[in-house]
Amino acid sequence: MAKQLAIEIEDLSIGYGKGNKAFVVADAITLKLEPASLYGLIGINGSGKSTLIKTLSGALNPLSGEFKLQGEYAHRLTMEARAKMLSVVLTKSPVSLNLSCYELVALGRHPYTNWVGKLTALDKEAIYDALEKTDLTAFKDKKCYQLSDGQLQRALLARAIAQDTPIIILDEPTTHLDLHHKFNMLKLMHQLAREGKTVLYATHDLEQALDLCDSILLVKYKRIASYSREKVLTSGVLESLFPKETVRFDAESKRFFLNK
Amino acid sequence: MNTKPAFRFFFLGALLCLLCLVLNVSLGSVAIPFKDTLQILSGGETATSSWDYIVLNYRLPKALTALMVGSGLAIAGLLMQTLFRNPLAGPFVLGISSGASLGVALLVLGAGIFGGSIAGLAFKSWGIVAAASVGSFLVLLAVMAVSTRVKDTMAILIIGLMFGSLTAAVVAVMAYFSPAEDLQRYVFWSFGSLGGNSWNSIGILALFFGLGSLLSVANIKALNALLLGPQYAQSIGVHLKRATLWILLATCILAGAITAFAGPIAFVGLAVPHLTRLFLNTSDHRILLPAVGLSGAILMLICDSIAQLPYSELTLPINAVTSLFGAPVVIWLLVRKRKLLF
Repeated sequence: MAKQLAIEIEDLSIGYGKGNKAFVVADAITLKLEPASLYGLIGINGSGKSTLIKTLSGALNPLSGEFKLQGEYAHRLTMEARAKMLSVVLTKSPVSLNLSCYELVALGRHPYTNWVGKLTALDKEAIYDALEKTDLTAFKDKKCYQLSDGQLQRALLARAIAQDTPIIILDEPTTHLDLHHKFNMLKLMHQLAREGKTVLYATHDLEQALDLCDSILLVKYKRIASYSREKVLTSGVLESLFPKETVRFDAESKRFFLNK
Repeated sequence: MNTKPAFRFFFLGALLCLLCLVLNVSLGSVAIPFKDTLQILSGGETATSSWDYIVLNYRLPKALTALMVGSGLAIAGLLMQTLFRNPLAGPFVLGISSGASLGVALLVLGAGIFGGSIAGLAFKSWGIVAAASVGSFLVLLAVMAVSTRVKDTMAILIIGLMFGSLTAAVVAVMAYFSPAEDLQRYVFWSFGSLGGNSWNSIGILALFFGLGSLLSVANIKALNALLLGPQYAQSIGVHLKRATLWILLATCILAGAITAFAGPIAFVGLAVPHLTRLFLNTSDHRILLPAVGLSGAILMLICDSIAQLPYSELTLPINAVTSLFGAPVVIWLLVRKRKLLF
């Protein structure tokens, strides 16, 4: 039997609005995302990375087409079933910063708890595991407003880990972080992918993405295409990602340079 | 999660609530010795039968009304603050109370202007309750409809305030054309009053209060998820539209019914959730919801005890007391904490 695909997108059109007034961000998207892989979603500002993430996470309905999560059509899944398949880390911080780090991570167990949200021993184990993995055990009783940006970002990832889903999607998880915390996040995501999860993250840190990701999803001219790590370097798509007069890409060193 | 401080809070809170209840019943314009009040409350009889009547048919219903009003408004405020992701939200600020006022005004003042079949309704207490509930629900729906288009929560609050002044204007126009006695009825209702409810109306209020509280409790899980923000809440399995509707419905039933029976009472809905958070230092609705309900009840009983001005025959409008008490508290909180977390 062939390996179960994590996400299967077929001729999907994404964007905002309805009918004639619909604003198409990207269309004719056909992608296959495999388990145990790290995917980097790249593209210039406003190209539609967040729209894709919103659509996959269910916050936005597709304009047309459909996609499968773990082999099941997403629009047929209940909210709860979807929450057990896919977790997200968004660019926004949680609304209430009065939550403690532990409480924040505990909310990841939401799809598994009873009507009032009582945590079982199993839930608590998952929470402590997630805290451990993200190196936050010492901070578990700190309130969110007491955490640094890097710690808060890790706590949000810990929440997604506690949700125990085969797919984790992150929207610019490394933005605004210093190099140490940035690499820390990347390492965690890489490790999660090695453990069997499908990790998809949107990013502007292209050079790290090229070093680390198994595949790159490139958003450009209303299309989204997938390239393997080797292919993306040789195909020449990165050279044309930015206007030539400002940015030059060197495929050999996998680095971008400023064109003076 | 540490449950010890919460346990202490509930234990002391319940004691304090009982104490305030007894204190509230023992105070009033007719001086009844404390000992006799206790005796009447515990089912005994005193030498003066008018005392029995005053305590059982006037003071006790009033105290129970205060308890439910304070508790219900505080819970409604908590629901609004979480749903609208704004520490300034409350039944008053979002125009819910104005909506209820509009409903009651249409009924009470409209009866005089249009006459006919609504005139009969206006004199039944459930008619006023229904009008207030429908009014608050409609305004809240309007605010919600706008808020789905406007993403900025600050804008939603301003829109709520605008709806408030809009309904106030409609009420003012209607008041201008109304006969004096209808107007007086409306004005007295708008001062806020906890007294004068028969045991029958207490029963109706209790029904709505129970229903609203039950709905709130049923939504505790969704409320906690909403602390992350709507998109996160959705991603962990919350049916956003459904949860929003239930929470709004709970708020309307609580705020609408209470406003109908006690008039538009200011401040409790806004201030009590913040006071409670300050004491308990948590945002978990499993603890916060009952705690806010308890604090609201205590606060309202105290306010009402102050309002009836012990040892005098005067009674202040309850609205004046809650604001006199509430405003300094919120200012003090802001100065001390510098920011309101929720």
